[in-house]
Amino acid sequence: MNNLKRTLRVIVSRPVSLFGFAILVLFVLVAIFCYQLAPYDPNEINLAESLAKPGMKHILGTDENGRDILSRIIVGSRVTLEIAIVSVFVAGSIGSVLGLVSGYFGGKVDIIIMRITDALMCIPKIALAMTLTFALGRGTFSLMVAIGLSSVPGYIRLIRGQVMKTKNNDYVQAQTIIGTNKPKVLFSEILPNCISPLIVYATTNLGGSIITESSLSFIGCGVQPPNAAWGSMVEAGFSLIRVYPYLSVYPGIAILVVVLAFNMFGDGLRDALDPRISKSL
Amino acid sequence: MLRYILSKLGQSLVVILLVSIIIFSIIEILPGDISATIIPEDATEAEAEAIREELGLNDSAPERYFKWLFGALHGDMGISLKTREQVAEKVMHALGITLSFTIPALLIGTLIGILLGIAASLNRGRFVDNFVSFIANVGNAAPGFWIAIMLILLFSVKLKWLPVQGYTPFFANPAKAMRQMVLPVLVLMLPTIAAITRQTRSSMLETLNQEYVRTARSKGQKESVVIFKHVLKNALTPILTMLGLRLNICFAGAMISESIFGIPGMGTVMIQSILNQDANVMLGGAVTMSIAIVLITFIIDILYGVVDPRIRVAR
Repeated sequence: MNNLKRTLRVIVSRPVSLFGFAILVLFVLVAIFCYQLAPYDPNEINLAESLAKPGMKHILGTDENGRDILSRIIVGSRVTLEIAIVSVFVAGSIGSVLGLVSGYFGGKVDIIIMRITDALMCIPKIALAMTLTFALGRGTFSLMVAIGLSSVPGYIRLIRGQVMKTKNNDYVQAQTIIGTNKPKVLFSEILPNCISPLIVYATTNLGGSIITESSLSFIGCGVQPPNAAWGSMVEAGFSLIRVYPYLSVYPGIAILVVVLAFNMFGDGLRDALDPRISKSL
Repeated sequence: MLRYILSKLGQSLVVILLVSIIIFSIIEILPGDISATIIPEDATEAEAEAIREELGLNDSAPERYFKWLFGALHGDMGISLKTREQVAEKVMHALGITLSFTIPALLIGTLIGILLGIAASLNRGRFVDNFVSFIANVGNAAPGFWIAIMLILLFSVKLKWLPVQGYTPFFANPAKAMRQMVLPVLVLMLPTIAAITRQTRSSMLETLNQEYVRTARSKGQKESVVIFKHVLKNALTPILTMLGLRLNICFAGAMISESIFGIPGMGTVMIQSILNQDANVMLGGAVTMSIAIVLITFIIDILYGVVDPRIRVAR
C-alpha cells in the first residue's frame, strides 16, 4: 500500500506524467462508455451528409459514407484498448514465464530459449505480426494474438536480465543454501524483483501495441470494415487527402495523443518505481 | 580477431536457420489447405492432384521444410501460388528496393541523432535540451504511416514541392527517383533520429561524469577536443549496438510506408501475399528480410569488435 501511495505521489508531482495519467484515465473512460458518448451511430451510412466539413452538426465532419468521424473515433477507442490490453497480457505472461525459466535455470534451457528469442528479434515486428495474421486469418482476435506473440521476445530478455541480476544476491543465495526448494525461491525471492521493471515495460508496450495495431489496420490486415479502427480510418481518408485532409488527420491525432500519454506515464512510473534511475540522470 | 569473426558468423547462421524454421512453422499452422487458393474451382480431382503433387503439398511438413531449405540454399524458393513467378527473384528485387531507402534513412538519421544528442547533453536542462526531448517524444509516439501522410499533406498537397507517390528506379531517371525518395527516407529517418538522440544524450551524460574526462579538462585540453575525442568516442559504442535494432525497426516502418508511397518493395510484396494467401511468397519474403537483417547485424558486430577491443577479447 505504501508503495502504491509513493508511486502515485511521484506521478502526481510531475506535470508530464500527471498529464499522461489524466489522458489515460480519460481514454479508458471513453472506451468503456463509447456507445453512450458517441453522438451518432458510428456505422450508420447517411449519404445525404457525406463528406460534411467539420462544423456545428458534426464536430469533426463526416466521411464519404456520411458516418460521423467523432463517433467513429470514440467507438474506435474501445477496440484499440481491447487489443492493446489483451496483446500485452499475452506477451507479458508468456514472456515472463520463459524469461524466469531461462534466467533461473540457465544451462541448456537458457541456450535454447535465448537462441529462439534472438531469431525472433531478427524478424521485424510488423513482418512477424503479418506472418501470424496470414496464418490466423484477418480480424480482431488474430490481431491480439499476432501483436502479443510478436512482443514476447522483449519480455523474455527483460525478465531474464532481471533474474540474472537478482539470482546472485546474498539473500537469494542464502535461501538456496538453507535448502528452500527452487520454485519457492523463484516465486518469493526473485519474482518480486521483476515486477517493477515489468510494469514499466508493459506500460510503454501498451503504447507500442497501439502503434502496431493501427499500422496493421492501416494496411488492411487488422480490424475489418465496417468497424471503426483508428488505423483504418487514416487509410480510408488517405485517398481523399487533397480535398478532405481532416479524414486522416483526426484519427492519427487520437493515436498520437494516446501513445504519447502511455509513454509519459511510463516514464513517470519508471522514476517512481526505480529510485536509482531518477537520482542519477 | 579471426576467432571473434568466426564465432559471430556461426551464431548468425544458427539464427538464420531458426528464423526459417519459425516462419515455416507459423505458416504451416494456417488452417485449411493452401492448395485451395491455387486450384481452380472447376478443376477435376486428377488435375487438383497434379497441382498438389507439383507443389509438393502431399509431403509431410518436415519433408517440405527440408526440400524448401535445400532449394533456398541454391537460390530457389519455389514459385508464387498466385502469379507463378519465381519467389527468389521477386523477393530479391523487392529487397533491393526496400534497402535503397532504408539504408540511407538509417545512416542519415543516425548522424543527425548523434549531433542532436550531443547538443542536448551539452545544454542539459536548457531550452535546446527540452526542445529536442519533446521532438524525440513526439517522434516516438506518432505512427509512421500517419507521419507519412502528414508529410505528404505538407510537402506535396500544400507546398507542391514533392510528388505524392510513385517509384522510379534510380538509373532510369535519377532526378525523378531522388525527388520521390525524399519523403519515404524522411519518414523512416524521424523515428531513428528520435531514438538515437535519446541514446546519445544519456550515454554522453554518463560519460561526461567519468574521471578521465575530468583529467582531460584539468590538464587544460581544449573543450572541443574533450568532447569529440574523449567523450564522444566512448559514448558512441552503445549507439553502434543499437543500429541493428534500428535497422529492424526501419524495415518494419518501410513495410508500412511502401503502401503509402506506392513503392514495390518488401512491404508491398508481403501485403499482397497476405491478400492472395500466397504462402510461398510470404515464407520467402519474411525469411529473406530477416536474413538481410542478420547479415547487416553481423557486419555491425564486426565493426563493434574493431572499434572496441574489449568486446572481441571477452567472447
